[in-house]
Amino acid sequence: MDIAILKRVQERNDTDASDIRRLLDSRGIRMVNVMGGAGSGKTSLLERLMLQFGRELRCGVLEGDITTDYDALRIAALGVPVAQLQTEGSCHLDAALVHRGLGVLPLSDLDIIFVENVGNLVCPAQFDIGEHIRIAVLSVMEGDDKPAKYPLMFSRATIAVLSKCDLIDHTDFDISAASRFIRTVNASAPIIETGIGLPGDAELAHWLAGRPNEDEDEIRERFATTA
Amino acid sequence: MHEFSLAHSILEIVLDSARQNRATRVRTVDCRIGAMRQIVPSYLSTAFEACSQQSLAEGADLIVDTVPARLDCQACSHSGDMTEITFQCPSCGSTRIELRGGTTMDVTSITIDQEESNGHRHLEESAGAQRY
Repeated sequence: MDIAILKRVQERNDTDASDIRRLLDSRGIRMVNVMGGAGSGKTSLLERLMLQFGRELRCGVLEGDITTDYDALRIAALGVPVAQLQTEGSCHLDAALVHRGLGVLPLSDLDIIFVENVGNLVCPAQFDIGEHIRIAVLSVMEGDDKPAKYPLMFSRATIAVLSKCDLIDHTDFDISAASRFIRTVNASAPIIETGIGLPGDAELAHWLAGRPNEDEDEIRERFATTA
Repeated sequence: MHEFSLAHSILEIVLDSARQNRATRVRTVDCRIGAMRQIVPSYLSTAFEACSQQSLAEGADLIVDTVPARLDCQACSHSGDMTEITFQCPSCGSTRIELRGGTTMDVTSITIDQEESNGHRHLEESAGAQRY
C-alpha cells in the first residue's frame, strides 16, 4: 500500500529554529551563525568583533565544537558571556542544541549573539539554528575554489567573509576568482575582506550592527524548500 | 556525515506515518533531495539502514529522487536544470553562470504492508519486534 506523505525532512529542526527566532525577536536580540572550515579564523574574527563593538552592543557567544572548551575560554577572557556547546562527535549544530545553549546566556543583558558553528564547510550549512544572519568564513589559506566545492554554504550566506587577508601575499589566493564563485550561487551577500590591520573588521561590525532583524517570511524565503 | 542525522529525521517521519496507517512493515521510502544539498545518496541509504534497525522500517529501500538546481548562463543565455553541480555552463562552457534552488529535502511517500482488517496480525508484530 502506498502512502503519500510530503513532509520536509528537517521539519522538526525548522520548528525548533522558528521557536528560537520568536524568542529572540521578542527580546530584540539578533543572532549570527558563524560558519566556516576548521582553522578558517572564526574564533579570531569573533575576538576582534567583540573589541570592535566595545560597549556599543552587548554581545554573547555560543561556541560550538565537537569537544574541548578552548574557544569558550578565549571569548570568556574578553569578559563576554559565553557558553560552550559540545556536539560530542556530531559535525554541526542543530536548533535543539542551540536552544539549550541560549538557556545559560543572560538574554536580558544582550543585543546580539554569535554562534560559532563546528568547523566544517558542509554540514552546518544544512541546519537552520534560528539565526537571523549567516556568515560564511573562508580564509585565504584554504584556496579561492572553495565556494565552488561547497556551494550550499555560500549560497545560504547573508555575508561572505574572506579572512586572513593580511596574509594574502603569502598565498596564490585570487579574490576575484573567489568572489565570482560566490556570486554564482549568491547574488546579494556582501563579500568582506578581513584581517589584522585591515578595514574589513570595522566594515563587518558596522554591517552587523546596522542590519535590522529580518522577519520570519524573509528567513523562510531563503530557506525555501521548493527548488 | 550530516547524512546520519538526516536519515534519523527521515526515519521519524516514516515511523509516524507507518504507525498512523497501522503498518506491519515499511517496504520503500521515497525522498526528493535537491542537488545543492550535497547529500550522497549511498551514504544516506547506509545511514538509514543503520538507524532503522529493529524498527518497522528495517530493510526498507530508501529511494532518492534528485531535484535539480536551476542554471542561468549570463554569457549565452542558456537556462536549464542541473542535477550535478558544476560551476560551468554546459552549453558554452562559461563560468559566468547563476545557480539557484535545488535545496528541497522532502519525504514524499512510503510503501507499507498493513495489518489485515480481520484482526490477524503479521508475524513481526506478534513476535514483539521492537518499535520506535
